[in-house]
Amino acid sequence: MARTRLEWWAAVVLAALCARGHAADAVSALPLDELLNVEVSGASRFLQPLADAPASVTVISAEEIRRFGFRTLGEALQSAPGVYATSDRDYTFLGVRGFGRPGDYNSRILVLADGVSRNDPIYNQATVGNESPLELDWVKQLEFAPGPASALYGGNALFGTANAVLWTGADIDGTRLSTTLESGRGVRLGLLSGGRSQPDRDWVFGLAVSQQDGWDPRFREFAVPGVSDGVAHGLDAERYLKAFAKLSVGEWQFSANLASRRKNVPTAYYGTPFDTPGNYSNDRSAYLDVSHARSLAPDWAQHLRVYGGSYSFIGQYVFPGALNRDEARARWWGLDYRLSYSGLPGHRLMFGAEAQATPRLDQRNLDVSPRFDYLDDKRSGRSGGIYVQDEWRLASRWTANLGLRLDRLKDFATIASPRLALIHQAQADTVLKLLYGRAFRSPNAYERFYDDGNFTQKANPDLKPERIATAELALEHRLHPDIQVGGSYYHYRVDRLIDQVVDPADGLFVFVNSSPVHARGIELETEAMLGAALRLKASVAWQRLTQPGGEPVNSPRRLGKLFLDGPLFATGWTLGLDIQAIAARRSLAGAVAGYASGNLTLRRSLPGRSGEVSLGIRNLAGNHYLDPAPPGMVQDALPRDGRQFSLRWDVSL
Amino acid sequence: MTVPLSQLFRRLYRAAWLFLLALLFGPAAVAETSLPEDEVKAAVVANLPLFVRWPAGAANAAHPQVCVLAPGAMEAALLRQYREGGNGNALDFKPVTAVPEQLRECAMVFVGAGDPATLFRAAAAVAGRPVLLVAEGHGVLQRGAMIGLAVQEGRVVIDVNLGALRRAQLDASAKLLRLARTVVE
Repeated sequence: MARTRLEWWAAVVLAALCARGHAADAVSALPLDELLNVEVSGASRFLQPLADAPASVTVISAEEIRRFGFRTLGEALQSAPGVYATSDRDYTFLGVRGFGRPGDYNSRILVLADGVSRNDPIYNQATVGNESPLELDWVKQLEFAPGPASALYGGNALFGTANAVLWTGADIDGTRLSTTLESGRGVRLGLLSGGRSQPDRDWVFGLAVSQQDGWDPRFREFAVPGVSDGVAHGLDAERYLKAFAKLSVGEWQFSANLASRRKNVPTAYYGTPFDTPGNYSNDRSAYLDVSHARSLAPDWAQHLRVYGGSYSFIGQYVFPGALNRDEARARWWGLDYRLSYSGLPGHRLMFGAEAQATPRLDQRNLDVSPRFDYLDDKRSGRSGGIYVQDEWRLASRWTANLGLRLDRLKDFATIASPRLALIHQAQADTVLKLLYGRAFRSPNAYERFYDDGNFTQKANPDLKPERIATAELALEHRLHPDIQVGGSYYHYRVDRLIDQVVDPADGLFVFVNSSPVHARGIELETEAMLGAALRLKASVAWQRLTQPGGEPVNSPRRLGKLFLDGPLFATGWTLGLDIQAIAARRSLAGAVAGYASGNLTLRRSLPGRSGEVSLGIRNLAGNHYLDPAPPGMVQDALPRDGRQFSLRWDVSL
Repeated sequence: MTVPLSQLFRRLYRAAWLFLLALLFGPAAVAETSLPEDEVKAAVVANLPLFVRWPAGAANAAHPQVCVLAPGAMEAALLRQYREGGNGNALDFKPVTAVPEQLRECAMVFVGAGDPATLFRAAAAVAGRPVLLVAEGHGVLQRGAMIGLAVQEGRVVIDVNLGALRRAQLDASAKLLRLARTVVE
């Protein structure tokens, strides 16, 4: 068995190394007017890039990812104004515009890969750390649009949508290898291979493996003189294996993504004894997708996609005398159909219908030995939605974007999500946007049905979907060829926000629909050239959440970010420096101090075809800083990693 | 409110699926062959210098170069375009990775899609010089591009920022302006 697998991998790698091909060139002899009449094939023909969405979109290119040495989707997304990431040394959580509820597995953010939703149906989790099945190296361009997008994508798109546009074979046209050595006693290897053998045949394959021993974090809550120094020794290791493949043949496209990741958890969560090995989280996911795109008539085009996925989670907790496990398994499949019409002058219409079935939504909690089942919950789900969108050119400088989606979900009433946007191109270099949108998220299986035998957490099957209504005014202006500025003001209202609280009657954690929460904020951003070559990008965000019961947890009032990149004098090195500051936040039991943290990346090409090398330092000053801890821990705040060094080598074969 | 909406929904839902099946298994109305987007865009880019006039005596017009900041398929497609020398284009091709100082020697700069930072950097680097800045994607004119390339309804469209062209002392031909989807000042 092992041998067969090895041979298979060898064949894949060999095929990747040998394959190089170019599309036939049939267009070079055509004059411009005829070229503009040639029908083109490619994803942008049928899929709307998020960058065109009526919102203040941040676009992060692969070049920027490399310049700043971002390692995960979360690190890259954190460069957008108003976004902040926290970690519980198990998963990475994204906060957007002041919303970062501890214990919320990013279920209010939608992550798309090539325009397709990748949140799982059991936790609705948008994975953005190493736990994500998507490796940042596979991303050609990462887009983030804050605000609701349920009018197009349905549930979960409350606070923001991130879309990872993955490389195509024509982009790669060969094989790229990368090796990273990390001071956290780890190594990562990546392979990306692809090509286009004929004009309509494109393939790409990516593989990444990583193994890290991690750090020995110190938790002051466990430092008891004579008993423990508070250090969790050798319990922070993480390893993952991820693969993806995409194949386009004519009107058909196939894509697949597999990932498995295991993270040892050093935090002694849920009352497990401190500094004891054996606690871990294991996430596995598989995703398959077949799509077909076709022009029906000069003004009509359609896109049909059939997809299926599976996700499993195992969490192991070592208690004295008992080995406890959480197990969650989900399987889903669905259909998505889009039809676009451009026959009406001044309009671009899109109709869509989507249906998803989730035949398996299982959650278990059990003691392995002696065997005892606390929870064995089996559910299934189904959902469907229809939507319409019109991009309407009202006048030469005015565009309206109107969208409406109706979603029907098992157990809940039909939900309507409208979106209205008015975009005014005041001058060639000034754009003004007025946006209104509503979005929803239905409670997931974990929030409704999970309990651990009522030791720490109980279920609440009566949860209702939460709703959000948002209004935003955004301005982008090019002040000077060297200075670009932007700003936005927003107001959010969330009704029936699903929040994890402690029930005073029994002291158990439970998810409830809470009172309305309001958020208001201002974000300002500027990009400027300092001299001829250094680019500076800076943003500040002021955000304030108001809710009954006082200051919300993990909601900083201010965020500041500064990014500087460019050539480092005439040395041949490129510099990428970022400094990010976050104001003090409330934690579950107290508060954590604000901090500023810097990262530095130096990169240069090596002579000949030896590729390029980059040297990274994360947490430049080696500061000790903390994030609020999620529920279920003794600690109220968790330390982030200290100073880390990395060395990366990239080479194209 | 809930009941009628859900009935309407059910009907629409059924109708939508029937429509879908009819479309999917019905005959395709269009049988034209389509070409890869990047190949067509590269050919358009290679054609553009024929419709733009550089000021007489401009330093970069003596040994004109096209500098490309577009890693991936577009760069490869442009390389092929220039290597094969279609369209009688007279410009040499020089691929340049994003280092702004090198752009000063270029007669034309092309910035690929999805890289606003590089476009901004390139626009600042060539400001005030007779350099034609072409970029791919929506909203690129606002970030300093003189000609923008996008795909609309399956065809490549071009947008022109006439004001930016004039500031760079470049003249666009009337034919280019006629072929453009939009022309902004």
